[in-house]
Amino acid sequence: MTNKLWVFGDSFSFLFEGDKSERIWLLQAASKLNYSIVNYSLRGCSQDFTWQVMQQEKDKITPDDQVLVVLTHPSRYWLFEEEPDHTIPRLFKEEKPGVDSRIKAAELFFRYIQRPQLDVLSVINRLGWLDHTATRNGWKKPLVVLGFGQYYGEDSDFPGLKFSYGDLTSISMDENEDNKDASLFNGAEPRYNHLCLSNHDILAEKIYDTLANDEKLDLTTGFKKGVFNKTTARSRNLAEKEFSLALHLGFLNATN
Amino acid sequence: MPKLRIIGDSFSWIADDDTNSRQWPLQLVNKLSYELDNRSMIGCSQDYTWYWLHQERTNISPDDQLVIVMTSPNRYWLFEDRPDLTNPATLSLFTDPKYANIAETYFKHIQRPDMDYMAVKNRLGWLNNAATVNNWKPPLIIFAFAQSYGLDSEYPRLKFSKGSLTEDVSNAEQADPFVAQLFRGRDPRYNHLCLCNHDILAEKIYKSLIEETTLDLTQGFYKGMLDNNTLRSDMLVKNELSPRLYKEYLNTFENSKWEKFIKTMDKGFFNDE
Repeated sequence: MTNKLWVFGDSFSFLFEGDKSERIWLLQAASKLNYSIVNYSLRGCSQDFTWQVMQQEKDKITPDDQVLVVLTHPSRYWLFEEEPDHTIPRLFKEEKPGVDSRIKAAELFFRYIQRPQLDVLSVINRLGWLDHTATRNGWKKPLVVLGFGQYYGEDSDFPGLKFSYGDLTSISMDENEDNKDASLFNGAEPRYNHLCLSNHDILAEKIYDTLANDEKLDLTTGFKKGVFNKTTARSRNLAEKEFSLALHLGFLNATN
Repeated sequence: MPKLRIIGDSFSWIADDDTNSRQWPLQLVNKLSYELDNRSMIGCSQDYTWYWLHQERTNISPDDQLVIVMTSPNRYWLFEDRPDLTNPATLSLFTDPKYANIAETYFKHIQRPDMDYMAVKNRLGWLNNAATVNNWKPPLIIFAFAQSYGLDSEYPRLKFSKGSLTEDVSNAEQADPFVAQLFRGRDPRYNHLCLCNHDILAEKIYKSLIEETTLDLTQGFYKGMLDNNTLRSDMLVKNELSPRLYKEYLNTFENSKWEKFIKTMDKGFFNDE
Protein backbone atom coordinates (compact mmCIF):
# COMPACT_ATOMS: atom_id res chain seq x y z
CA MET A 1 0.00 0.00 0.00
CA THR A 2 1.98 3.02 -1.21
CA ASN A 3 -0.69 5.38 -2.44
CA LYS A 4 -2.09 7.85 0.01
CA LEU A 5 -5.45 9.32 0.89
CA TRP A 6 -4.64 12.91 1.90
CA VAL A 7 -7.36 14.23 4.18
CA PHE A 8 -7.74 17.90 5.06
CA GLY A 9 -10.68 18.87 7.22
CA ASP A 10 -12.25 19.58 10.59
CA SER A 11 -13.91 17.47 13.29
CA PHE A 12 -15.83 15.48 10.69
CA SER A 13 -12.56 13.84 9.67
CA PHE A 14 -10.40 14.26 12.77
CA LEU A 15 -9.13 11.00 14.30
CA PHE A 16 -8.53 10.68 18.01
CA GLU A 17 -5.28 9.04 19.00
CA GLY A 18 -6.01 5.87 20.96
CA ASP A 19 -9.77 5.96 20.49
CA LYS A 20 -10.42 4.52 17.10
CA SER A 21 -13.11 2.24 15.81
CA GLU A 22 -12.36 0.48 12.57
CA ARG A 23 -15.86 1.57 11.55
CA ILE A 24 -14.85 5.25 11.39
CA TRP A 25 -15.72 6.31 7.85
CA LEU A 26 -12.26 7.51 7.00
CA LEU A 27 -10.62 4.25 8.05
CA GLN A 28 -13.22 2.16 6.25
CA ALA A 29 -12.98 4.20 3.05
CA ALA A 30 -9.17 4.11 2.99
CA SER A 31 -9.21 0.37 3.60
CA LYS A 32 -11.69 -0.29 0.81
CA LEU A 33 -9.66 1.87 -1.57
CA ASN A 34 -6.35 0.40 -0.42
CA TYR A 35 -4.87 3.78 0.53
CA SER A 36 -2.79 4.70 3.53
CA ILE A 37 -4.08 7.80 5.31
CA VAL A 38 -2.32 11.11 5.77
CA ASN A 39 -4.75 13.07 7.89
CA TYR A 40 -4.36 16.80 8.54
CA SER A 41 -7.76 17.37 10.08
CA LEU A 42 -8.17 19.57 13.12
CA ARG A 43 -11.28 19.99 15.22
CA GLY A 44 -12.72 23.49 15.07
CA CYS A 45 -10.37 24.73 12.38
CA SER A 46 -11.15 27.17 9.59
CA GLN A 47 -10.87 26.75 5.85
CA ASP A 48 -7.79 28.95 5.97
CA PHE A 49 -6.02 26.44 8.20
CA THR A 50 -6.98 23.63 5.85
CA TRP A 51 -5.64 25.53 2.87
CA GLN A 52 -2.44 26.53 4.58
CA VAL A 53 -1.66 22.89 5.32
CA MET A 54 -2.56 21.91 1.76
CA GLN A 55 -0.31 24.62 0.36
CA GLN A 56 2.53 23.35 2.54
CA GLU A 57 2.00 19.70 1.60
CA LYS A 58 1.04 19.96 -2.06
CA ASP A 59 4.42 19.01 -3.46
CA LYS A 60 4.32 15.68 -1.62
CA ILE A 61 1.04 14.64 -3.23
CA THR A 62 1.44 12.40 -6.29
CA PRO A 63 -0.93 11.71 -9.20
CA ASP A 64 -1.60 8.26 -7.73
CA ASP A 65 -2.78 9.72 -4.43
CA GLN A 66 -6.25 10.98 -3.63
CA VAL A 67 -7.06 14.28 -1.92
CA LEU A 68 -10.20 14.53 0.18
CA VAL A 69 -11.20 17.88 1.66
CA VAL A 70 -13.90 18.24 4.30
CA LEU A 71 -14.95 21.82 3.75
CA THR A 72 -15.77 23.37 7.08
CA HIS A 73 -17.98 26.37 7.71
CA PRO A 74 -16.81 29.42 5.73
CA SER A 75 -17.52 31.83 8.57
CA ARG A 76 -14.85 30.31 10.81
CA TYR A 77 -11.84 32.58 10.92
CA TRP A 78 -8.27 31.75 11.93
CA LEU A 79 -7.72 34.81 14.08
CA PHE A 80 -4.54 33.99 15.99
CA GLU A 81 -1.76 31.88 14.57
CA GLU A 82 -1.22 29.71 17.66
CA GLU A 83 -4.95 28.97 18.00
CA PRO A 84 -6.13 27.52 14.68
CA ASP A 85 -8.98 25.73 16.49
CA HIS A 86 -10.41 28.96 17.93
CA THR A 87 -12.43 30.20 15.01
CA ILE A 88 -15.93 31.07 16.18
CA PRO A 89 -17.35 33.96 18.24
CA ARG A 90 -18.43 31.99 21.33
CA LEU A 91 -14.82 31.01 22.06
CA PHE A 92 -13.90 34.65 22.52
CA LYS A 93 -15.75 35.90 25.56
CA GLU A 94 -13.97 38.16 27.96
CA GLU A 95 -14.07 37.06 31.58
CA LYS A 96 -12.69 40.42 32.63
CA PRO A 97 -13.79 43.05 30.12
CA GLY A 98 -10.96 45.18 28.83
CA VAL A 99 -8.15 42.95 30.10
CA ASP A 100 -7.43 40.87 27.03
CA SER A 101 -7.18 43.13 23.99
CA ARG A 102 -6.95 40.14 21.66
CA ILE A 103 -10.32 38.83 22.80
CA LYS A 104 -11.74 42.28 22.25
CA ALA A 105 -10.24 42.27 18.75
CA ALA A 106 -11.91 38.92 18.05
CA GLU A 107 -15.28 40.19 19.26
CA LEU A 108 -15.02 43.30 17.15
CA PHE A 109 -13.95 41.29 14.12
CA PHE A 110 -16.93 38.93 14.27
CA ARG A 111 -19.36 41.73 15.07
CA TYR A 112 -18.29 44.39 12.60
CA ILE A 113 -15.95 43.02 9.94
CA GLN A 114 -16.84 39.45 9.08
CA ARG A 115 -19.66 39.08 6.59
CA PRO A 116 -20.91 36.45 4.13
CA GLN A 117 -19.74 38.51 1.16
CA LEU A 118 -16.09 38.09 2.18
CA ASP A 119 -16.58 34.49 3.27
CA VAL A 120 -17.99 33.47 -0.10
CA LEU A 121 -15.28 35.39 -1.91
CA SER A 122 -12.63 33.48 0.00
CA VAL A 123 -14.30 30.09 -0.49
CA ILE A 124 -14.39 30.59 -4.24
CA ASN A 125 -10.75 31.71 -4.34
CA ARG A 126 -9.69 28.69 -2.28
CA LEU A 127 -11.55 26.27 -4.54
CA GLY A 128 -10.04 28.00 -7.56
CA TRP A 129 -6.58 27.45 -6.11
CA LEU A 130 -7.35 23.77 -5.43
CA ASP A 131 -8.75 23.17 -8.90
CA HIS A 132 -5.76 24.90 -10.47
CA THR A 133 -3.24 23.03 -8.31
CA ALA A 134 -4.86 19.64 -8.88
CA THR A 135 -4.99 20.17 -12.64
CA ARG A 136 -1.47 21.49 -12.87
CA ASN A 137 -0.03 18.61 -10.85
CA GLY A 138 -2.04 15.90 -12.58
CA TRP A 139 -3.83 14.81 -9.42
CA LYS A 140 -6.93 12.69 -9.42
CA LYS A 141 -9.89 15.00 -8.93
CA PRO A 142 -9.92 16.05 -5.26
CA LEU A 143 -13.18 15.20 -3.52
CA VAL A 144 -14.69 18.12 -1.64
CA VAL A 145 -17.11 16.89 1.05
CA LEU A 146 -19.17 19.73 2.45
CA GLY A 147 -18.97 19.72 6.23
CA PHE A 148 -21.59 22.45 6.27
CA GLY A 149 -23.97 23.67 3.59
CA GLN A 150 -22.48 26.71 1.88
CA TYR A 151 -22.46 28.67 -1.36
CA TYR A 152 -19.43 28.24 -3.60
CA GLY A 153 -20.76 28.99 -7.08
CA GLU A 154 -21.40 26.20 -9.57
CA ASP A 155 -19.70 22.80 -9.71
CA SER A 156 -18.96 23.59 -13.36
CA ASP A 157 -16.75 26.51 -12.28
CA PHE A 158 -14.33 23.93 -10.92
CA PRO A 159 -14.10 21.10 -13.45
CA GLY A 160 -11.06 19.63 -11.72
CA LEU A 161 -12.94 18.99 -8.48
CA LYS A 162 -15.71 16.66 -7.30
CA PHE A 163 -18.24 17.95 -4.80
CA SER A 164 -20.63 16.18 -2.48
CA TYR A 165 -24.31 16.81 -2.95
CA GLY A 166 -25.50 17.78 0.50
CA ASP A 167 -23.47 18.13 3.67
CA LEU A 168 -22.39 16.18 6.72
CA THR A 169 -23.96 18.51 9.27
CA SER A 170 -27.41 17.70 7.92
CA ILE A 171 -26.75 13.97 8.36
CA SER A 172 -25.47 14.61 11.84
CA MET A 173 -28.49 16.66 12.87
CA ASP A 174 -30.97 14.21 11.34
CA GLU A 175 -29.61 11.43 13.56
CA ASN A 176 -31.14 13.26 16.47
CA GLU A 177 -34.85 12.57 16.81
CA ASP A 178 -35.18 16.03 18.30
CA ASN A 179 -33.34 17.28 15.24
CA LYS A 180 -32.85 20.93 16.01
CA ASP A 181 -31.94 20.44 19.66
CA ALA A 182 -28.24 21.20 19.26
CA SER A 183 -27.87 21.52 23.04
CA LEU A 184 -28.51 17.82 23.61
CA PHE A 185 -24.84 16.99 24.02
CA ASN A 186 -23.98 20.14 25.93
CA GLY A 187 -20.69 20.42 24.04
CA ALA A 188 -19.70 16.81 24.87
CA GLU A 189 -20.33 14.99 21.60
CA PRO A 190 -20.32 11.19 22.09
CA ARG A 191 -20.15 10.29 18.39
CA TYR A 192 -17.07 9.78 16.28
CA ASN A 193 -16.99 12.73 13.86
CA HIS A 194 -20.53 13.77 14.88
CA LEU A 195 -21.95 10.68 13.18
CA CYS A 196 -23.38 7.41 14.47
CA LEU A 197 -21.36 4.37 13.44
CA SER A 198 -24.15 3.02 11.25
CA ASN A 199 -23.87 6.20 9.20
CA HIS A 200 -20.08 5.89 9.16
CA ASP A 201 -20.63 2.57 7.36
CA ILE A 202 -22.92 4.20 4.82
CA LEU A 203 -20.66 7.22 4.30
CA ALA A 204 -17.60 5.04 3.77
CA GLU A 205 -19.42 2.96 1.17
CA LYS A 206 -20.64 6.07 -0.63
CA ILE A 207 -17.17 7.58 -0.68
CA TYR A 208 -15.78 4.35 -2.00
CA ASP A 209 -18.34 4.37 -4.82
CA THR A 210 -17.50 7.98 -5.60
CA LEU A 211 -13.76 7.49 -5.77
CA ALA A 212 -13.63 3.98 -7.22
CA ASN A 213 -16.61 4.13 -9.56
CA ASP A 214 -16.90 7.87 -10.22
CA GLU A 215 -20.38 8.07 -8.75
CA LYS A 216 -21.84 11.26 -7.35
CA LEU A 217 -21.44 11.52 -3.58
CA ASP A 218 -25.02 12.08 -2.48
CA LEU A 219 -25.26 12.95 1.20
CA THR A 220 -28.96 13.74 1.05
CA THR A 221 -30.32 10.19 0.90
CA GLY A 222 -29.62 6.73 2.28
CA PHE A 223 -28.53 7.71 5.78
CA LYS A 224 -30.18 6.64 9.02
CA LYS A 225 -32.27 9.30 10.74
CA GLY A 226 -33.69 9.58 14.24
CA VAL A 227 -31.15 7.16 15.69
CA PHE A 228 -31.30 8.64 19.19
CA ASN A 229 -33.10 11.13 21.34
CA LYS A 230 -32.58 12.83 24.66
CA THR A 231 -33.27 9.61 26.56
CA THR A 232 -31.66 6.94 24.38
CA ALA A 233 -28.51 9.01 23.95
CA ARG A 234 -27.70 8.07 27.56
CA SER A 235 -28.15 4.35 26.94
CA ARG A 236 -25.06 2.16 27.23
CA ASN A 237 -26.61 -0.25 24.78
CA LEU A 238 -26.94 2.37 22.07
CA ALA A 239 -23.53 3.78 22.87
CA GLU A 240 -21.92 0.41 22.24
CA LYS A 241 -23.51 0.24 18.81
CA GLU A 242 -23.25 3.82 17.65
CA PHE A 243 -20.92 5.98 19.75
CA SER A 244 -17.39 6.16 21.04
CA LEU A 245 -17.53 4.68 24.52
CA ALA A 246 -14.85 7.04 25.76
CA LEU A 247 -16.67 10.07 24.37
CA HIS A 248 -19.97 8.75 25.68
CA LEU A 249 -18.53 8.59 29.17
CA GLY A 250 -17.50 12.22 28.83
CA PHE A 251 -20.99 13.07 27.65
CA LEU A 252 -22.59 11.35 30.66
CA ASN A 253 -20.26 13.16 33.02
CA ALA A 254 -20.91 16.50 31.39
CA THR A 255 -24.68 16.14 31.47
CA ASN A 256 -25.15 14.62 34.93
CA MET B 1 -15.08 45.73 -30.01
CA PRO B 2 -12.99 43.82 -27.46
CA LYS B 3 -12.57 45.41 -24.09
CA LEU B 4 -9.48 46.33 -22.17
CA ARG B 5 -10.65 45.50 -18.67
CA ILE B 6 -8.51 47.19 -16.05
CA ILE B 7 -9.07 46.62 -12.37
CA GLY B 8 -6.77 47.87 -9.68
CA ASP B 9 -6.05 50.60 -7.17
CA SER B 10 -4.86 54.19 -7.43
CA PHE B 11 -2.20 53.20 -9.95
CA SER B 12 -4.91 52.65 -12.54
CA TRP B 13 -7.80 54.81 -11.31
CA ILE B 14 -8.97 57.63 -13.58
CA ALA B 15 -11.10 60.51 -12.39
CA ASP B 16 -14.29 60.94 -14.38
CA ASP B 17 -13.63 64.63 -14.81
CA ASP B 18 -9.93 64.41 -15.65
CA THR B 19 -9.30 62.61 -18.88
CA ASN B 20 -5.76 63.68 -19.71
CA SER B 21 -5.01 61.40 -22.62
CA ARG B 22 -1.47 60.72 -21.43
CA GLN B 23 -2.68 58.66 -18.46
CA TRP B 24 -1.37 55.18 -19.16
CA PRO B 25 -4.74 53.35 -19.31
CA LEU B 26 -5.98 55.84 -21.94
CA GLN B 27 -2.79 55.61 -23.98
CA LEU B 28 -2.87 51.84 -23.80
CA VAL B 29 -6.46 51.45 -24.91
CA ASN B 30 -5.78 53.82 -27.77
CA LYS B 31 -2.80 51.79 -28.94
CA LEU B 32 -4.78 48.54 -28.71
CA SER B 33 -7.92 49.98 -30.30
CA TYR B 34 -10.01 48.38 -27.56
CA GLU B 35 -12.88 49.75 -25.54
CA LEU B 36 -11.83 50.67 -22.01
CA ASP B 37 -13.63 49.26 -18.97
CA ASN B 38 -11.77 50.57 -15.94
CA ARG B 39 -13.09 49.53 -12.50
CA SER B 40 -10.14 50.69 -10.41
CA MET B 41 -10.59 52.33 -7.02
CA ILE B 42 -8.20 54.38 -4.95
CA GLY B 43 -7.12 52.59 -1.80
CA CYS B 44 -8.93 49.33 -2.46
CA SER B 45 -7.84 45.86 -1.43
CA GLN B 46 -7.16 42.74 -3.44
CA ASP B 47 -10.44 41.33 -2.11
CA TYR B 48 -12.31 44.22 -3.71
CA THR B 49 -10.52 43.55 -7.01
CA TRP B 50 -11.35 39.87 -6.91
CA TYR B 51 -14.92 40.57 -5.89
CA TRP B 52 -15.30 42.51 -9.12
CA LEU B 53 -13.63 39.70 -11.09
CA HIS B 54 -16.06 37.16 -9.62
CA GLN B 55 -19.01 39.39 -10.46
CA GLU B 56 -17.85 40.09 -14.02
CA ARG B 57 -16.45 36.65 -14.77
CA THR B 58 -19.24 35.61 -17.12
CA ASN B 59 -19.15 38.93 -19.00
CA ILE B 60 -15.45 38.72 -19.88
CA SER B 61 -15.04 37.36 -23.38
CA PRO B 62 -12.03 35.50 -24.82
CA ASP B 63 -11.32 38.57 -26.99
CA ASP B 64 -11.03 40.89 -23.99
CA GLN B 65 -7.78 41.65 -22.22
CA LEU B 66 -7.63 41.73 -18.45
CA VAL B 67 -5.05 43.94 -16.78
CA ILE B 68 -4.98 43.62 -13.01
CA VAL B 69 -3.02 46.12 -10.98
CA MET B 70 -2.34 44.11 -7.86
CA THR B 71 -2.35 46.24 -4.79
CA SER B 72 -0.69 45.50 -1.47
CA PRO B 73 -1.80 42.18 0.04
CA ASN B 74 -2.03 43.63 3.53
CA ARG B 75 -4.92 45.89 2.67
CA TYR B 76 -8.20 44.52 4.03
CA TRP B 77 -11.74 45.30 2.93
CA LEU B 78 -12.99 45.92 6.45
CA PHE B 79 -16.35 47.57 5.91
CA GLU B 80 -18.51 46.89 2.90
CA ASP B 81 -19.46 50.50 2.29
CA ARG B 82 -15.84 51.74 2.48
CA PRO B 83 -13.75 49.55 0.17
CA ASP B 84 -11.28 52.43 -0.09
CA LEU B 85 -10.28 52.46 3.60
CA THR B 86 -8.19 49.34 3.89
CA ASN B 87 -4.92 49.97 5.68
CA PRO B 88 -3.48 51.60 8.80
CA ALA B 89 -2.53 54.73 6.89
CA THR B 90 -6.21 55.49 6.31
CA LEU B 91 -7.37 55.29 9.93
CA SER B 92 -7.52 59.06 10.24
CA LEU B 93 -9.89 59.21 7.27
CA PHE B 94 -12.73 57.41 9.07
CA THR B 95 -15.39 59.92 10.00
CA ASP B 96 -16.56 57.76 12.92
CA PRO B 97 -13.76 57.05 15.43
CA LYS B 98 -15.53 53.85 16.46
CA TYR B 99 -14.76 52.31 13.09
CA ALA B 100 -11.21 53.63 13.12
CA ASN B 101 -10.77 51.82 16.43
CA ILE B 102 -12.20 48.57 15.05
CA ALA B 103 -9.88 48.80 12.07
CA GLU B 104 -6.84 49.56 14.19
CA THR B 105 -7.64 46.61 16.45
CA TYR B 106 -7.85 44.31 13.45
CA PHE B 107 -4.52 45.44 12.03
CA LYS B 108 -2.82 45.26 15.40
CA HIS B 109 -4.01 41.86 16.61
CA ILE B 110 -5.35 39.79 13.75
CA GLN B 111 -3.74 40.60 10.43
CA ARG B 112 -0.48 38.79 9.68
CA PRO B 113 1.66 38.22 6.59
CA ASP B 114 1.13 34.43 6.47
CA MET B 115 -2.59 34.89 5.99
CA ASP B 116 -2.07 37.62 3.43
CA TYR B 117 0.34 35.44 1.46
CA MET B 118 -2.04 32.48 1.49
CA ALA B 119 -4.89 34.66 0.27
CA VAL B 120 -2.72 35.98 -2.58
CA LYS B 121 -2.00 32.43 -3.72
CA ASN B 122 -5.68 31.50 -3.52
CA ARG B 123 -6.62 34.55 -5.58
CA LEU B 124 -4.02 33.84 -8.25
CA GLY B 125 -5.01 30.17 -8.29
CA TRP B 126 -8.63 31.15 -8.85
CA LEU B 127 -7.63 33.58 -11.61
CA ASN B 128 -5.45 31.04 -13.39
CA ASN B 129 -8.31 28.55 -13.17
CA ALA B 130 -10.92 31.05 -14.40
CA ALA B 131 -8.69 32.06 -17.33
CA THR B 132 -8.35 28.38 -18.28
CA VAL B 133 -12.01 27.44 -17.86
CA ASN B 134 -13.24 30.54 -19.72
CA ASN B 135 -10.49 30.56 -22.36
CA TRP B 136 -9.43 34.13 -21.61
CA LYS B 137 -6.29 35.71 -23.00
CA PRO B 138 -3.61 35.45 -20.32
CA PRO B 139 -4.47 38.16 -17.77
CA LEU B 140 -1.62 40.58 -17.11
CA ILE B 141 -0.79 41.12 -13.45
CA ILE B 142 1.01 44.40 -12.81
CA PHE B 143 2.35 44.60 -9.28
CA ALA B 144 1.51 47.91 -7.68
CA PHE B 145 3.56 46.83 -4.68
CA ALA B 146 6.27 44.20 -4.39
CA GLN B 147 4.86 41.06 -2.79
CA SER B 148 5.39 37.32 -2.45
CA TYR B 149 3.21 35.13 -4.61
CA GLY B 150 5.30 32.05 -5.35
CA LEU B 151 6.77 31.43 -8.77
CA ASP B 152 5.49 32.65 -12.13
CA SER B 153 5.65 29.06 -13.34
CA GLU B 154 2.98 28.05 -10.81
CA TYR B 155 0.46 30.10 -12.80
CA PRO B 156 1.05 29.29 -16.47
CA ARG B 157 -2.08 31.11 -17.65
CA LEU B 158 -1.06 34.41 -16.09
CA LYS B 159 1.53 37.01 -17.05
CA PHE B 160 3.34 38.92 -14.32
CA SER B 161 5.25 42.16 -14.33
CA LYS B 162 8.88 42.05 -13.34
CA GLY B 163 9.19 44.61 -10.58
CA SER B 164 6.50 46.85 -9.15
CA LEU B 165 5.08 50.29 -9.80
CA THR B 166 5.75 51.58 -6.29
CA GLU B 167 9.27 50.40 -5.66
CA ASP B 168 10.68 50.52 -9.18
CA VAL B 169 8.90 53.43 -10.80
CA SER B 170 6.95 55.75 -8.48
CA ASN B 171 9.38 55.94 -5.58
CA ALA B 172 12.31 56.10 -7.97
CA GLU B 173 10.96 59.32 -9.46
CA GLN B 174 11.83 61.08 -6.23
CA ALA B 175 15.26 62.25 -5.28
CA ASP B 176 14.11 61.89 -1.68
CA PRO B 177 12.68 58.38 -1.21
CA PHE B 178 10.26 59.33 1.57
CA VAL B 179 7.02 59.70 -0.31
CA ALA B 180 4.86 61.08 2.47
CA GLN B 181 7.43 63.69 3.42
CA LEU B 182 7.71 64.96 -0.11
CA PHE B 183 4.02 65.00 -1.02
CA ARG B 184 2.59 65.51 2.48
CA GLY B 185 -0.02 62.84 1.83
CA ARG B 186 -1.21 64.41 -1.43
CA ASP B 187 0.47 62.97 -4.47
CA PRO B 188 0.11 65.49 -7.32
CA ARG B 189 0.86 62.90 -10.01
CA TYR B 190 -1.61 60.94 -12.07
CA ASN B 191 -1.51 57.40 -10.64
CA HIS B 192 1.62 58.25 -8.62
CA LEU B 193 3.64 58.57 -11.82
CA CYS B 194 4.98 61.52 -13.79
CA LEU B 195 3.46 61.73 -17.23
CA CYS B 196 6.77 60.95 -18.95
CA ASN B 197 6.65 57.59 -17.20
CA HIS B 198 3.00 57.12 -18.17
CA ASP B 199 4.21 57.27 -21.77
CA ILE B 200 6.84 54.64 -21.12
CA LEU B 201 4.54 52.41 -19.10
CA ALA B 202 1.81 52.46 -21.75
CA GLU B 203 4.31 51.51 -24.45
CA LYS B 204 5.83 48.75 -22.33
CA ILE B 205 2.43 47.23 -21.53
CA TYR B 206 1.41 47.47 -25.17
CA LYS B 207 4.55 45.66 -26.30
CA SER B 208 4.15 43.09 -23.57
CA LEU B 209 0.63 42.27 -24.74
CA ILE B 210 1.33 42.35 -28.47
CA GLU B 211 4.73 40.67 -28.48
CA GLU B 212 3.98 38.41 -25.52
CA THR B 213 7.07 39.56 -23.66
CA THR B 214 7.61 40.19 -19.97
CA LEU B 215 6.56 43.60 -18.70
CA ASP B 216 9.79 44.86 -17.15
CA LEU B 217 9.22 47.67 -14.64
CA THR B 218 12.78 47.61 -13.35
CA GLN B 219 14.36 49.62 -16.15
CA GLY B 220 13.71 52.22 -18.81
CA PHE B 221 11.84 54.74 -16.64
CA TYR B 222 12.82 58.30 -15.74
CA LYS B 223 14.17 58.60 -12.22
CA GLY B 224 15.03 61.15 -9.55
CA MET B 225 13.28 64.17 -11.04
CA LEU B 226 11.14 65.12 -8.03
CA ASP B 227 12.24 67.02 -4.95
CA ASN B 228 11.07 70.06 -2.99
CA ASN B 229 12.60 72.40 -5.56
CA THR B 230 11.41 70.80 -8.76
CA LEU B 231 7.92 70.51 -7.30
CA ARG B 232 7.85 74.31 -7.52
CA SER B 233 8.93 74.33 -11.17
CA ASP B 234 6.22 75.58 -13.49
CA MET B 235 7.64 73.53 -16.34
CA LEU B 236 7.60 70.30 -14.38
CA VAL B 237 4.16 70.94 -12.99
CA LYS B 238 2.80 71.69 -16.43
CA ASN B 239 4.40 68.72 -18.16
CA GLU B 240 4.30 66.00 -15.57
CA LEU B 241 1.61 66.51 -12.95
CA SER B 242 -2.15 66.71 -12.63
CA PRO B 243 -3.22 70.38 -12.29
CA ARG B 244 -6.10 69.44 -10.02
CA LEU B 245 -4.02 67.20 -7.79
CA TYR B 246 -1.22 69.74 -7.69
CA LYS B 247 -3.66 72.35 -6.42
CA GLU B 248 -4.77 69.95 -3.69
CA TYR B 249 -1.14 69.23 -2.90
CA LEU B 250 -0.44 72.93 -2.36
CA ASN B 251 -3.53 73.19 -0.15
CA THR B 252 -2.27 70.44 2.16
CA PHE B 253 0.19 72.87 3.70
CA GLU B 254 -2.74 74.75 5.14
CA ASN B 255 -4.86 71.73 5.97
CA SER B 256 -4.62 70.53 9.53
CA LYS B 257 -6.16 67.13 8.72
CA TRP B 258 -3.23 66.29 6.51
CA GLU B 259 -0.77 67.70 8.98
CA LYS B 260 -2.24 65.24 11.49
CA PHE B 261 -1.95 62.49 8.92
CA ILE B 262 1.74 63.19 8.37
CA LYS B 263 2.44 63.32 12.08
CA THR B 264 0.76 59.95 12.51
CA MET B 265 2.85 58.54 9.67
CA ASP B 266 5.99 59.85 11.36
CA LYS B 267 5.07 58.36 14.72
CA GLY B 268 4.05 54.96 13.49
CA PHE B 269 0.55 53.65 14.15
CA PHE B 270 1.37 50.76 16.36
CA ASN B 271 3.83 52.40 18.61
CA ASP B 272 2.40 51.56 22.03
CA GLU B 273 4.18 54.34 23.84
